[in-house]
Order: sequence, then structure tokens, then C-alpha cells
Amino acid sequence: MNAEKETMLQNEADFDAYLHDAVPDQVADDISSAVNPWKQALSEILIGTALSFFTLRFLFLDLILPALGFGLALRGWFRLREQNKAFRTGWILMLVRTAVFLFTLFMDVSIYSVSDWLGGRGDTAVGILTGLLLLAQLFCLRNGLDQVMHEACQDSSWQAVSWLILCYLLILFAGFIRLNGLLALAVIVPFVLCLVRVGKLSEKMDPAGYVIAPKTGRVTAGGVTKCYVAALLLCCAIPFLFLNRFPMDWQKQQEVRSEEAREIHKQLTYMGFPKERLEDLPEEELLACRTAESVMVSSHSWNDLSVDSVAVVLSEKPRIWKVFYFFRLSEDSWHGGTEALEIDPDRQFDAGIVLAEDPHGAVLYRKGEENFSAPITRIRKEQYTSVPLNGMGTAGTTQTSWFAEFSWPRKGENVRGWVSLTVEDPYKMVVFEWENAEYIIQEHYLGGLTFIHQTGRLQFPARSARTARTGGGSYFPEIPFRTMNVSGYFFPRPQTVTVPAETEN
Amino acid sequence: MIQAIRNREERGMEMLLKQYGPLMRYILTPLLPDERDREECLQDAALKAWNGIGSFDEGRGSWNAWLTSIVRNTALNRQRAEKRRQAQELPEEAEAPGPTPEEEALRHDRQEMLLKVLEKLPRKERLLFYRKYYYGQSTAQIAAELGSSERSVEGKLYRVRKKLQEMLEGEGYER
Repeated sequence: MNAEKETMLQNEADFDAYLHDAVPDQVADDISSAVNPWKQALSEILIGTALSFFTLRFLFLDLILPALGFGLALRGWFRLREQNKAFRTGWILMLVRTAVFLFTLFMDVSIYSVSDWLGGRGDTAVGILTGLLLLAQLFCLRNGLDQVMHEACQDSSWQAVSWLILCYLLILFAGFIRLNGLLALAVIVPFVLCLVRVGKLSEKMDPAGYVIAPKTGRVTAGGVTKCYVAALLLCCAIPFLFLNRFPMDWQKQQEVRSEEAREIHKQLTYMGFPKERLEDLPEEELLACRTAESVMVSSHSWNDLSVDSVAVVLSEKPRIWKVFYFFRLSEDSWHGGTEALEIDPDRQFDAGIVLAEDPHGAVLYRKGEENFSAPITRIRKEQYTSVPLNGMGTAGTTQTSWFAEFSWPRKGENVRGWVSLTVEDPYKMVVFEWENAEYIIQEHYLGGLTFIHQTGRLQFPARSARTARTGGGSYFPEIPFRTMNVSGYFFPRPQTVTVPAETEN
Repeated sequence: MIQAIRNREERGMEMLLKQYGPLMRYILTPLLPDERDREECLQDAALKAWNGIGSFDEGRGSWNAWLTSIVRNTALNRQRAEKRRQAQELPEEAEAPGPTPEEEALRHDRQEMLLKVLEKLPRKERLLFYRKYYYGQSTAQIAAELGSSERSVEGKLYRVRKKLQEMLEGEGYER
């Protein structure tokens, strides 16, 4: 056995000697140019920087290109980190940039936004931080290259990097003033040209690159790449799998009601308030209707979803309505993901209707004999500009709406919920005019409701129903969401009617 | 610079040492561990490049490749001379005897055969081969420059050797 092994080793040694002896005297051009200790590192930094910069919202490229870019730049900076102080600082900045990138990616892939975690201006703060970090890194690149050239006794050639910095400042400014369309493209083009120029310059700087002596240690560039890929996968998988729905504060529903509440319940039922829906309201909602003068109801349904809109006239002078939107999902519907109700009382006619209080509401379900309820997770006002499909085409219109967001229970029967709002002066006179005629809607108008219903899990990155509506982070805005518009017309009792739902898609 | 060397201008030599000094030292370092040896060899190689500029033809290959082969050959000659001196205890000034015509012919055949099979290797493997056998780089240096671990480089080199062995056996190489 040992003899066999010895023969094998001898054969290997012989062959090794053979290769040493038979190696050609002259090396091919492509080999001689590729064997340069910094060529690959510098290319990785430059290409990585370029890729990490692009946010091309098409076929997930705004995720893929920066992810690839950060991976490359990370490798490049890692390799050069020991060469001089500037490259070492650049490497530390690269680590910080990568951490910020992974954090934003994590948030982008989840139903939350950076602002949800860091406060109202979180997005802007992270944007500014990202910009400044890259800017500082470009300065490090410039100084690092300068030092290498100096070490190699060669003339400094960092003008291209200086141009790169200048172009990047232009892009930051364009981002700050929210420049878009062709003008934004016009700013990016010189940046790319500069990158190409730096790439060409790096070829000229090849002779200087031989002074670089990469060090090997326990951690290799390959190891860094593996860690980065693992972090990247986790940042995509965790939010996609676990941060795709809101946590709901489910509590057992209290059945006991005061005498006054029971009396109001009776009166409202008499006025036409659907009895079943009244059962879902908590005591304080019933008490808020103690001055009820009349009730108007309209019902809408669409496949597995139905909405009952109930307006309780609380006062005629001043005119105050309390409006309830009751929604429910049929038993066999999908319960995952998130749901959103867009409430815009002034949507159709911009009539100046005012909300007397912020909307609020709850989600309910039954489990066995018991009912559980949880407050709507988040209700807030948001201004948004509807984004054209797949980010292409011209910008849409800007509007302000209230959004009520929640998730259904994972399991449960009779899943349902309600949202209420108090509206002042809802009878604004609206006049339609056209040639030689006019048509006046004077009564019983209230702006509408849009229900954004998630119909399935398949979406990446995970978006909330509200985000799907407002357009942020969407490649295919309507997948897997369905929007249902509920028009805001109410008719006085006994004209309770059923109006077919209008759907956008 | 090349024109200046061709015109036998002094600044050509200065430029060569300034611009290509780092490349020449990079090639010499794995082949000659002693720094004094390296510096002497660098001067020798620069002189050879100066004297042999007539043989440089841009159409046949790049300046980098040409200079690399001059520097490498100078270093290898120095290495061989040193070995022979040590073995035969020759005086330091003595020139190392060159290979016999038969040895040279055999080596030429082997080179042709190896070049033929090397062309069949993927570029990455070819690069690895040249780093190891042409540039004489250590596994540690290759690993550091490629950003891999030494173990991974050793594994890759082992596979390249196996591949070459199989291909060369097909061409007539015998163990």
C-alpha cells in the first residue's frame, strides 16, 4: 500500500517537474495583462460601485443589480484594505454601506418601510446617509489610488475619480430636488461615462498596480462573499416569510353592555341599522350614536368580500354623520397578508368635506363560541402619487387619503371588521354642468371607500395592501391584490338598496 | 518609452525603470527570494530589454508580455547558475553551462505539446497554471491575489494538473 502511495507521489512530483520544464517561454498577452495583483480588485470596486448605484425598476433589477454591485465592491475593497490608510477607510465605509443596504433591503422586502422603524423621515435620513457614505468612499478611492501611484513613483492620475465625484454630487442634488425622467437620465449618463473612464484609467495604472501586495489571512475575499450572500439571502427570506402580515392584538370580545347602550342598540335597529353589524360595535361606538336621527344603508359585494356602508345622521344643524364601513370575508377566502381600506370622503367631487375625528375600527373573528377582536393596526393619512404600471409612462395624480391597515386572523370563522368616521357637513352641493343643462346632487352624498384585498401570498418583495395601492415598490401593482371601490351614496330609509360594486380591475 | 529605447535615448531606460520597475519586481519576487539578487537581476533584465529592443515586435505580442518573458528568463538563468554553482562549487563569476542541443530539442517538443493542451483549458484554469508554473507564484500569493483560501487554490491546481495529465497522455506523454 505504502509502495503504491510512494509511486503515486513520485509520479506527481515527476509530472510537476515536467510542467515546470515544459512551460512556454513567452506568456500570452491576455495572461500577462490579467496577472496583476490589483486589476481584479479595482475592476470589482468600479463595476460594483456602478451597479450599486442603479435603481432600474424593471424585472427586479433594482434589487439584483445593487445586490450584485455591493457583493463585488465588498470583495474589491476587502482585497485592497491593507495597502494604505485610504483603502482601509474605504473598506470600513464599504462595511457600513453594506449594512445600510442590507437594512434597507430587509425593509423593502417586508411590508414595512424604513420610516416605519426609524420614524417619519427615516427614508430621507437613510437616503442622505447612503449618499454621503458613497461620496466619502469615492474620496477614499481617489486618495488610495493617488498613494499607490506615488508608491510606484508614477504620476498621479486621479482626475477621472474627481470627475466621478463631481458627477455623483450632481446625482445627489438631482435626487434631493427629486428630478426624474429624461433630466435624471441626463445626470446619470456622465456618471457612467466617468466610470468607463476610470476603468480605462485603471488599465493605464496597471504598471503601478504591481506594487500592491494582497495579504492572505484566515478570512479571504471568497469568505467575505459567502458571508455577504448568506446575509443577503437572510435579508430577503426573513421578511418575505415572517414580516408579511401585521401583528394583531387579539382580545376576547366583551359581551356586557350598559342599559343606555342597549337602548341605543334598539333604536338604531329600529332605524334600519343591520342588527348583525351592530353586534360587532363596542359600547363607546354605540354611545356615540345616542343622538341618531336616521340611518342610511348601502351594501356592496364582490366575490368573497362584502361591504355594508351605514351612515348614522347624528345632527342636521350642524350636519354631522357617523359613518360605519362593515366588511367581511367569506369562509373559504385566503386569510394571509395584509388588507387596507382607503378612505377618502372627498374623493370624487372635492367638496370640502371634513372629518370630525380620525377614523378608527376593529377586526373580528369567531373561534368556537367565542368572538375575538383587535383594533385596526394602523390608521393614517397619506399623500401619494399614483405610479404608472411598472414604473413606466408619465407620473400619476397626487391625492391624500386615510388608510386603515390590518391583517385577518390566521385561522377563524366569520372574519369581519369595521371602520368608523365622523363627517361634518356631508351634504355639500355638487353641480354637474354640461351644454345647456345641469344636474345637481344635493343630498346624501359621501365620498368613497376603496378596499385593497390581498388574494394570495405570491409576491416579492412583500408589500402591504396600502403600498400596493400607493405604488411604492411594486413591479406588478395589482398582483396579488384586488381593489374594490365602494361608491359613497347613501339613500334615506326605507330606500335601502344594494348597489353592485365597481371594481378597478 | 519604447521609441525612446529604440532611439537609444537615456530617458528611455529611466522610463523603463520607473514605469515598469514595479512589474519587473513583481515577476522577480517569487523567483528570487533574495532582495539583493532581485535588484541585480532587475538591472540585468533592464539592460537585456534595452539591448534586445530590436526583437520586440508589437504585432507579435504586447510590451508587457515581452518584458515579462525577458525578466523571467533572466531570473531563471540566474537561478540555474546559482544552483549549478552550489552543486559544482564554481566561482561566482563563472557562467552556467547551457542545455545541450538534444535537451533543447526535447524541451521544445514538450513546450509545443503543452501549449497545445493548455489552449483547451478554460481561461481561469490557464491563468492559474501560468501563475504557478510560469510566474512561479506560491499558493499563498495566488490565494491572496485571487481572494481564495490556499486550500481552495491547491485543490484547483490539483484538478488542473490532473486534467493536463490526462490530455497530455492522449498526446503521447508517458509517466
